Amino acid sequence: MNSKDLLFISIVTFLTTIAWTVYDIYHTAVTSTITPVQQELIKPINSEFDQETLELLRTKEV
Amino acid sequence: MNKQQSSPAKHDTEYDINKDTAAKGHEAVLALLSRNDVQAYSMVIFSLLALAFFSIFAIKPTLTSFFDLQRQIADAKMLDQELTTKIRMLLRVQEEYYRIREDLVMIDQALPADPAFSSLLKKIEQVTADEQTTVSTFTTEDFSLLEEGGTHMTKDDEIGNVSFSLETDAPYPNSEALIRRLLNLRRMIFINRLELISNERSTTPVVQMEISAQTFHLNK
Repeated sequence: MNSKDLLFISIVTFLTTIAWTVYDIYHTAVTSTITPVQQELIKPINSEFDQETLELLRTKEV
Repeated sequence: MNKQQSSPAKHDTEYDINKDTAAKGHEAVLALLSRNDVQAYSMVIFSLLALAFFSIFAIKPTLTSFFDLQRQIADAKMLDQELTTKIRMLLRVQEEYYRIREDLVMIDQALPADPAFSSLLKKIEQVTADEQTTVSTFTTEDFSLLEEGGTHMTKDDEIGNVSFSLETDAPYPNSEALIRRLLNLRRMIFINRLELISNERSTTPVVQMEISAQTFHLNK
């Protein structure tokens, strides 16, 4: 194995390491840390009651 | 005895050979390293390997922790904002609930928690009496008034239903009024089939009416 081969292996190793580091950082940056329970908690709720239906029911015979 | 004397001599010889080999190797390495191209290649190779080593064991964990903490802070801020919005919405809902609390009983009357079929039956009886219609037949399908929870539904269904059929004899205006009142009841009734049969031979204007309907209730 001559010096050029060793240099090639070193460059490939270095680039692989850099790619691994960049991917790991990207993955960490884009992965949400919010748990499923928290996601369930922040689900929006509808604060409007159906007034039309209530008015309709009011006109009905009991 | 001869064997014992020859052994240290042999050992010395082997040692000398190894020493010579090591010396030759050392000279060869020095000769190799004295070359400019080898020095340049070695410097680059060891620099790259050192950088790779530090990337894995020093730079990557540090940067990962940094971005992870940043993400946690951003998520926590978002969570705080969403929860604040939800608390505000809950307060609005609470206000609205207190405002319409008196009216919520109407929903229970329209869609009770259990079949409450006896009260519906009582109401139908009252309506038919009011409209002067004669009920000739009243049947329920897949439901028994004597058994609890006689409706057909699975545990996953949120709403159960009770089907029933009604046959009445009355003049047309009374039958029409009966239908209108049944549809105007607060208890939800859905009419599946309505049949009006007039007897042409009869001298009285009586119309025979057949109603197939169903009512609903919540599945608790």
